Amino acid sequence: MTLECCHISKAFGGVQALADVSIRFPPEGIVAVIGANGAGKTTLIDTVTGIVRPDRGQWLLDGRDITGLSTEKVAQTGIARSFQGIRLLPDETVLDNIALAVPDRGSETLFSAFLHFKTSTRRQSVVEEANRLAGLAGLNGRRHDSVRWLSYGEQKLVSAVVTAATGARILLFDEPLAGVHGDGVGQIVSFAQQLASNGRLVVFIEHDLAAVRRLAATTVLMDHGTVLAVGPTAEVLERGDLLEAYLG
Amino acid sequence: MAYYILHLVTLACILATAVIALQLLVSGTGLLSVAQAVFLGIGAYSGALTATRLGLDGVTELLVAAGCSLLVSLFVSIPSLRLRDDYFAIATFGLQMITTGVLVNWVGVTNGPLGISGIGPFSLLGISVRSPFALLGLALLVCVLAVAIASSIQASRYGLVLRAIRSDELFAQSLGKNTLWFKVKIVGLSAVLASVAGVLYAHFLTYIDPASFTLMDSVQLLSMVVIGGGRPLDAAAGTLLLVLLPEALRFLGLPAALAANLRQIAYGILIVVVVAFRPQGLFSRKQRAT
Repeated sequence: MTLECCHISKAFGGVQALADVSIRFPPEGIVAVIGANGAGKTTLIDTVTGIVRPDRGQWLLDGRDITGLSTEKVAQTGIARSFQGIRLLPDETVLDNIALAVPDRGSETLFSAFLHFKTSTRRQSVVEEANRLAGLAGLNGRRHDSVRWLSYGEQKLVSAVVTAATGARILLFDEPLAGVHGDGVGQIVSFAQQLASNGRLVVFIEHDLAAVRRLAATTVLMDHGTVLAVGPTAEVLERGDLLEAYLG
Repeated sequence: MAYYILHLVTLACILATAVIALQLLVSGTGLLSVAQAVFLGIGAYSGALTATRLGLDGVTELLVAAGCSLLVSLFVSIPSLRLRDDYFAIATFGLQMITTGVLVNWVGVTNGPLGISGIGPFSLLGISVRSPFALLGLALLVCVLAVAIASSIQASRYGLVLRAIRSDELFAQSLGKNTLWFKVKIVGLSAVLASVAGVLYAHFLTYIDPASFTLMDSVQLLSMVVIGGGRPLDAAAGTLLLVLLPEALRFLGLPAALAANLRQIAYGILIVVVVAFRPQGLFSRKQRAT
């Protein structure tokens, strides 16, 4: 699956959040999007996931125009995202949060709610997939805890797992490491690496350049709603003149 | 005295069915409705008219009631649920006002403020439910069925998606859930369940008029959910409590004018106390930290 955006622009009042942004993403691997606050990174993700409608420009998935599709339609085409702030169901268990994301349209009909009394949340194939992902992320010990009782770092990890559980081939993580310390960073990083090694495209917004260097093969540097540079991470991070824009 | 209690318990069972149906929306999905009495009323009028005017049996009554309530629910839910949650509450308020207007003014069909009297016993497949005990049995059966349906939805994946909608609709959408359709279907189911209760209500009262299905009645059904709690049995318990409470006040021997006001005051105090000290409901054990 190839994802690209062509000439995307978006203004909020007088602020040009995105100005003629065009990026062609690689079909797989890890891509970092870096840039100062207000560079338009989150807005870019919002425009592809139907949360913000761009003023101009198109998002193309395998050449098909997906601009302006609703959030759920975009997710159904195989593009999933996480949010900067944590969006999970705090009163449900880790496993139920993951299972919710695992696609299983058959058991989501109202009719099946009558037929599978007490069983349909726990359909075998869904549970197996949820367990597999929890194991992959190193969350085995916390599967049956309510998300509410997890540390911030663990919740960030669960967010990433939930996003991946949708089965999407393209995953957009909005600052997956922000506010995460210690072992948490390593867990999320290695989870993202495992996703990418399975032929998925993982795009993540990040401020921590060490993490970017470690993870991303390709880096997109944004500033004031425009793309300053796209290329192999080492090259982008070496261009001191551009990084000045980022570091201020 | 025994018949008096029998009467109250039957009433509670019938109302509890409508309250459990409302709970699917309020606690299950986070949709506030102040029009549950409308669907109770649609059921009651559908049943009463089908029985008295057309002389048809209970199965037809239930089908007509379910069909009409489903249609009305779609009419309200599809446009309003596209908007943010609050608009659904406003739309149900509008529906409630319109319905009361129609019931009072469409004299040719509803007989206006005079209502419909002489509603005979409910008969299903040739068996007529005549004795108060049989009616209680039927009402209890329907109520138990409602509890079973609501519990199984709560436990199901469908219920999980509804809770996701309640907690964070954008999150549910970002996982590819068509949240509009989930909401429309649960609103429809709630309406149909309430209308089934309405059919029984008409036969139970033998006389119905627009005054039984007003905004006050909708608010009363809503307060039964709030006071009861989050699980279907909590809602049933809340209903029983609020049906019995005014009757208990009756035994205080207060003058009628005072008693009516006192009842309103007791309601108000009860709701405030529950919301302040037990926001999860009187009968729910689960403490929600939010």
